[in-house]
Amino acid sequence: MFGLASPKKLRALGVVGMNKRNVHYIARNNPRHLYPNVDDKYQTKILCAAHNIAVPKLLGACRSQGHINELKDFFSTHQQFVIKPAKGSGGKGILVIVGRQGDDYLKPSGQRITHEQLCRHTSNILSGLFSLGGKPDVALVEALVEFTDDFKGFSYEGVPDVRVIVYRGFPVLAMTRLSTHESDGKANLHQGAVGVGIDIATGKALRAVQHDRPISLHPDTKVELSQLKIPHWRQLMVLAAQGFEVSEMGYLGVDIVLDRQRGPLLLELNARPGLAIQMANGIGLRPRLDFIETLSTGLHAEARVDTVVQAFK
Amino acid sequence: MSVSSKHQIEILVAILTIIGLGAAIYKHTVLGFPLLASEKETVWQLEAKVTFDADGGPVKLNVNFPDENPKRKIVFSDRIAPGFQFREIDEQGVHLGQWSADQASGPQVIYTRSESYFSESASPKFKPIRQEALLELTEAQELMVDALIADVDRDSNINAVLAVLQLLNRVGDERVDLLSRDFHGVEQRNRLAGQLLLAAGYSVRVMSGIYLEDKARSQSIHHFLEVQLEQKSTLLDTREISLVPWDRVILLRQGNEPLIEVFGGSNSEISYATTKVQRAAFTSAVNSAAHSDNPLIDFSIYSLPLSEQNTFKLLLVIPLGALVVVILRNLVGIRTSGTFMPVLIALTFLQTSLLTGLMLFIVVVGIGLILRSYLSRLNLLLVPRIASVLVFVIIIYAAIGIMSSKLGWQAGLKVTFFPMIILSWTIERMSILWDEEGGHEVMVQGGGSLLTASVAYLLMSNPYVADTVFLYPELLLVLLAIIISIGSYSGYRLSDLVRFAPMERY
Repeated sequence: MFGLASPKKLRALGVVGMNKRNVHYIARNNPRHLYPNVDDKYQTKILCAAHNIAVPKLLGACRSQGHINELKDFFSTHQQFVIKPAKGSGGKGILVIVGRQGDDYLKPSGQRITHEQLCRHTSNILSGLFSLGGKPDVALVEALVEFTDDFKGFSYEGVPDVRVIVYRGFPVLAMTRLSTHESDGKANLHQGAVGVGIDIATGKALRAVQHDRPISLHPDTKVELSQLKIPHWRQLMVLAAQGFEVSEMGYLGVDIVLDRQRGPLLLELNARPGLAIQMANGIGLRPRLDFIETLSTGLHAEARVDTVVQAFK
Repeated sequence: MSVSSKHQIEILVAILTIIGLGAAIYKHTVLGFPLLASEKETVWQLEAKVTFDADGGPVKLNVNFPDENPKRKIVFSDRIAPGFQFREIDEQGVHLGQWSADQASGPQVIYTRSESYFSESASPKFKPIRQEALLELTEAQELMVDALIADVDRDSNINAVLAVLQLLNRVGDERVDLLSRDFHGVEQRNRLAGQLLLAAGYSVRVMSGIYLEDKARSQSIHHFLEVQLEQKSTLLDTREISLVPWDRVILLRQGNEPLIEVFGGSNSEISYATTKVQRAAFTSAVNSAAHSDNPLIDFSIYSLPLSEQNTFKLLLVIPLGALVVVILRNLVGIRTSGTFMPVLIALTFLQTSLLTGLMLFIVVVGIGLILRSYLSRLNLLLVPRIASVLVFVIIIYAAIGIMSSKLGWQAGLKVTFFPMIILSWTIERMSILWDEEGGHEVMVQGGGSLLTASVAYLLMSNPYVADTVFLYPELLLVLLAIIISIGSYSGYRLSDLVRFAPMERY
């Protein structure tokens, strides 16, 4: 039928639906008590450090209103940084500073903000303005990622990232999320970012979707999306696989950015990764998840990546 | 999910379904609950008044109570007999009410009253008649009877029986005249008719009772014959020579039992009055079950005062709204703003009606979102922000109320039925959604919420549905079973099928 897939065919393709994801994969593999590992970015940072995982460098954390008085001294040595809420969602409350001008700070748009404005923003983060449910939060200060130029032309106005679904430590599907004019520079598929499926074995683009519908050209830059190839792919896969050790979550979304100098950095973890990645790849999750379930656990990250590169060639 | 938890769910669902459906079926078939609460039913009030003069010593009064009739359900009974003790006894299969007092003198009056209705589902139990003689006949009379019945066919159908009764109406037949002379009076004549049937080989006994008539006082006792043909009891009026439906009469005695017996008194008299009352069918069923101390009814919402019952009537439909939410979210895949917010909105629609409700909701939330967008720029903390939205909502309520009143649109005043805290949260959530995901997502979720609320409203406002859950609250267990099974459903949602449609074409 037009516009409606037959359940039989989807099942044959191994497409995982929302109920299946929630009941079988998330509920069975992600214990409740582990959620803070991924929902609290401060917690994630600490765990990453303990596992020697490359992340954007944490410059400091501001935990109480009293700390705000020390910000002036603290920032005197930093030119570029990002302030973000530890429990924020959807990119809310992230303040990017790309330079200084006297005592003022510069945003990427060139807009100046004063030290008082920056302090108030930090204070708002602490009092929970951006956190889920308005709970008191911690403000993280991170070093600014110097994004690689490899995505030039593939992304419009924003920073692309790579989302990898990691099942029991094995990367199973990957896609890169390219911002568009419509998504307002954000790599958020709901807002109109483009998702490009990436071959687990090679790092080469497979298919692309925007708003859950297939496309082949980037809507703004008109670049052929199938030309995309992610650099440092092997390294990126290993990093994604290590997300499992960090979070202990069996069904995990790992978000990775590419730094010009440091290579792949783990940006965020997600306990409820979306399903659009199947469309971006043109591959159902089910056969791969089933395959992973037959594998023995206890392999280290490199071996796990070798396994999936072999299996999903 | 492990196999055992899947098993557990299956077993749980099966148990809940069996208990829920079982109880409902039991209530319908055995207790005579109607399918719909709106069904009306006729209830008959029967009042017996006994008068007698007490001699001054101990008194005992036996009154023959209406015979057991499976079709007839007693809803309610009471007695007024100051100074007397009452108990119900069974004496050789005869149902008696017995009043007794250690001492009584002078004229006494005792009332006993019952309300009953006739259920259509139950059929009278067939109890073979213990045949006894109806009349003592002389040899000559017996010969006449035998001669009379020799004229008719003895078939085991009702026409043959009626033909026998017709014999007594023969004009100019000497035998009939003679018998009628010997047995005159309605009761004797009825017995004579019975005797003819008996002689013709039918199974027969005499019954007395009263016809059910509206507002009939001092009802006279009628005499009937019960004839059994092929395992089926039929009631006959021998004067009219016609069949009497079992639900047109209340039978007071059978055979030779006395209607009333007084020990220690004299001049006893009993009179009957009947009245017809119309009322909701389920009331009778509930009262009848309560009358027989049925625990299923004793410990149910029907034991609550009427006003509380009405509260529960409203509460009982809420699970239906929850079911709609579960189905639309997990099977269809509609996104709503706030999980059960649509149910609360649907409850409001019950007060405002659907169209008015939808209009008011859109106006309040729309204006709220515009005001809230200003708050976004102020960077307020969460609680003060929602508190401000709450104040906005109250102001919007007041404005709508005043304006609609000025414009003469009374329906607008119903805006106050909307739960304001819920609306405040809805505005807050939608506003955040607008910032984070854009206006499109707000429309999707807002529309989804209203669609869900409308479907829930249509279900909850349906009188048949509401009546059914009120009459059979145990069906909520079945509903729970459905919700639990949907909870473990891991197949595709309708929205998955739309979303992943391009996968098919790859």
